[in-house]
Amino acid sequence: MNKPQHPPPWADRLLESFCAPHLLEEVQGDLQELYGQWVQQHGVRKARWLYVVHAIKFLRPYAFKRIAVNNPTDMFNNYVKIAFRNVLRQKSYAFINVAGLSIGLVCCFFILLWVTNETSYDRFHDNGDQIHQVWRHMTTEGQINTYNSLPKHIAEIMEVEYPEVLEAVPTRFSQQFVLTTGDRSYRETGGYVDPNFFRVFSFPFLQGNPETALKGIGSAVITARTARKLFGEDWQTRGDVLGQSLTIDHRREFVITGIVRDVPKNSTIQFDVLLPTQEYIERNEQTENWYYMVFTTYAKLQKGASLEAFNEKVADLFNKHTGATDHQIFLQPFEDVYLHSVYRDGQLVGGRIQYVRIFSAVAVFLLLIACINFMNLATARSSQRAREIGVRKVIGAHQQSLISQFMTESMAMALIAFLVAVGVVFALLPAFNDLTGKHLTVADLNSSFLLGILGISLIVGVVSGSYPALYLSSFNPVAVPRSTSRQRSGAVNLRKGLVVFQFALSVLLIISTVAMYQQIDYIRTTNLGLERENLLFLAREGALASQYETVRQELLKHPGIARVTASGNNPLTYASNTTSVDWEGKAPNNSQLFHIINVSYDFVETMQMELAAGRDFSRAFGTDSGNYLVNQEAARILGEDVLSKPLEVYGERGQIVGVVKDFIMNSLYSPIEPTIIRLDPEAAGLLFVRTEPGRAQEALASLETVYKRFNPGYPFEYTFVDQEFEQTYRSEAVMGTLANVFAGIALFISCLGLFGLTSFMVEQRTKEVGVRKVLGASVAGIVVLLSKDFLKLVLIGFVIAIPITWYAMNLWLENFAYRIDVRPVVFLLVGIAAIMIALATVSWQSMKAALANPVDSLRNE
Amino acid sequence: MRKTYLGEFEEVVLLTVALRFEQAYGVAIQEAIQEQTGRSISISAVHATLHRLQDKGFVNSFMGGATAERGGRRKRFFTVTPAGSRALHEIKEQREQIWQQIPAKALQWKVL
Repeated sequence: MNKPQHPPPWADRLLESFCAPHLLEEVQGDLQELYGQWVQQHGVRKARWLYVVHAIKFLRPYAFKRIAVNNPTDMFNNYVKIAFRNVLRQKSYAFINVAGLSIGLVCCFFILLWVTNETSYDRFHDNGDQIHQVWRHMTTEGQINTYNSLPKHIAEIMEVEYPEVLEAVPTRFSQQFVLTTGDRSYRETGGYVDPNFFRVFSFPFLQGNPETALKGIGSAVITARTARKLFGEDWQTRGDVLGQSLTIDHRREFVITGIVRDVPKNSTIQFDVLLPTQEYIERNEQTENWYYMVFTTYAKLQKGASLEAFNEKVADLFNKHTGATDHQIFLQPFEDVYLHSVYRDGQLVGGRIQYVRIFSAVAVFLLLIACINFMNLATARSSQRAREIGVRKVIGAHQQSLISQFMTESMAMALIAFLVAVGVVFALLPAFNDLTGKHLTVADLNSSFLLGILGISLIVGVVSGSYPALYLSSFNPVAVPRSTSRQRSGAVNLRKGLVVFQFALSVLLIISTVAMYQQIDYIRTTNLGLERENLLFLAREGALASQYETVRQELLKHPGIARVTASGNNPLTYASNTTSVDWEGKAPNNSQLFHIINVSYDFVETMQMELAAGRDFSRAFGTDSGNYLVNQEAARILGEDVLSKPLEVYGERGQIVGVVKDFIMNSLYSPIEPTIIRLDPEAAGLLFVRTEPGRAQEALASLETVYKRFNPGYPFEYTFVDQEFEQTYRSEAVMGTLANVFAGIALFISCLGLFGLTSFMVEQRTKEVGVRKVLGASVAGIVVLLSKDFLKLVLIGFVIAIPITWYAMNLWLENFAYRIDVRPVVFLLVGIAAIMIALATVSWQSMKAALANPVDSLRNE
Repeated sequence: MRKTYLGEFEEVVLLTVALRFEQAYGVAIQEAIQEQTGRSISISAVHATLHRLQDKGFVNSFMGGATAERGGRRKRFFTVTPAGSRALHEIKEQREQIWQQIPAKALQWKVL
């Protein structure tokens, strides 16, 4: 029989290289025998592959070659002792190392904490892998937009027509409710859900039955927090909270049928009160309309159901039932939604995951920079330890034992840095929470997290110790004692390369953060097309809705209040939209989407928007109730010169009376969208008050007086538009600040390393400097001589960083509809700043050397 | 002195060494475990366990003759030492002792 092809010889060589000789024969024998079987079973190719895999699996401690160390514990004790002696003898060097590593580790731990927290969102549901969020792509004018708002029918149909769907829940969250028990009222956030909500999501009940809790139309479920607020701390022992009734929004009594545990912070679904969706549907007949899309819908699929296959089946659900052609329904795993929720042109392009990725990269970069410091300093100081190494080798130390010695030293450093870092993390946790708006506690620093970061620290120790260990232990003992200061050019080049790399990273981080900061600042200060300062809004409840005109007149009489209007939504957040718009000359297949804002009189004036043409709605014209205002973007679509042209919205015909200058709605990530402003005071659910500049306190007092008089049963709560705006872009602002901090730290660690390197180099060249000075060199000349090598490296690092940064920043800025350009001047300024800082670091040491009295350095020889 | 501990997988390997009496070497043991328990184990795991058992004194080993299918390499055969044998018996007795005391009702479901 022909001998089958041989196993890969390199796999054998690998085995021979690490496997202990007394085991090698049986290991290779067994593998060879198995190889014969594999060839028959799977063919030669697979067999060779398996051979390699199994050969590699022998990389186990028991199989390794043994190094004859007589007493490993004694040797280890000795290494530790030497390591600590070195630390004590070279305090500044040890300080630079430990400080650099600790700072790097602190940043890394914080980032890890943050990332762990971010990735923990929505992961606590029992059947998390089965829960999906339902989305809808909608194609308008060739553009695909993606929404999670759906008509109520989607859930009903999914449950009936698709066997894969176990449960589907239509929900409407972020609703404000006024809860009244007895004579006390509270404003709480909550939502409407179907009774099967609790079969999909795991919000454990403290009291009540999850199966029946929301079955009745007048039932409500509250959280423990709400129960405490309404019924006192002892609500649980009172035992009569279940069955109590609550009045909601002063319109209906609801019976409490369940109390659930407080919603975890890392849940995207947040509520204090839950009411049955059916109750909402009965009050709003429009919900029967397929285009009344307000429900965020979740579906629980069967275990093991293929999402891909299901998405194919479900895609036409909407079109099939409505005859539309432009909708596509699809599901996304619920656990992914928090981090991945930004769709562009029908493609999932990211979301918060971007920040997770950016900061994970920053953590790795910072650790790398700190490791490089360690490597550079260790190898630079090699000549000082060359004699020690030589002597150890001559006495009979193996290279392996020297490697373990240097590894022990770097491990010791890493461990010290770890302890320092953990202490700092504990101490700075509250500050970190303030900065990021998270609620991390010491409990989050649990043992598994601490073990994880200990692991990271040890890896850092191994990485930063590996090169010095290999490099130092390979010294030839014969050559060592003679040439103490000559270092191999390979090592020098590597060190230079690492410095370049460090500074390239630092410059990259700094320029990126400067650009991020500018972008975020641009957003925060950009002209929105309306004045967001001195503007506040509150819900139009009770008398504010029924006696709007009286309340308005009354408010205007009070000091501090400049103007009052009503609007359907905060113009800086989401509005409703529709394709049901008709105008002269509209193409028959045009399905342009328009945003709709329902307002009352005085809207333009109160918002301080600017009119490009025409006029605001006016009480003077009795006919204005059917008329419209449009923004410039809408005017562009409707055709130029739209004033007085007829326009039909929701089938109601009216006239365009004015064009307002474009203002930013909704999000700075998306471009300005065409908007129609309707005069419909009934549908305008928010009361807007413009206060006199600088008299906000007075205005608030007036507002409260009037409010209490007209609406005694409602808690007085209001929101300032500018604060709301800040809140919306808070995560961007936090990211900006964090990025700035980390970039500063990166530069600091790099400079720390540079400082160590120069001080060491200067020390080595003390005699050279002395001789030069004696021969007449100037101080400036010597400083230049000593500094220029390092500055060259920093400069190269800078040059390398430019194109990478340019590319990365443009990639990030593409997310924003309103963005700055990355200007070359930023690069220049950052470059100059980095070089100046590096120069300051380097010249501190070189100046000291240059100014020293040459006699001191030349005296002893 | 405390007895040397025998892990679950170690026990299986030790039993298999006994099962393949006088024919127990790496590949044979791996095959036997696969046959008896249905577990598929990599050869390196078998080797690691065998050598751990040897360190603990539960098996002895000697090199056999060269064979062609192993490229002329010899096999290392393993045999159970008296200590290994005692350990296995002890485990078995302990288990049986416990089994006898378990009320039948407590464990009424069996593998079919």
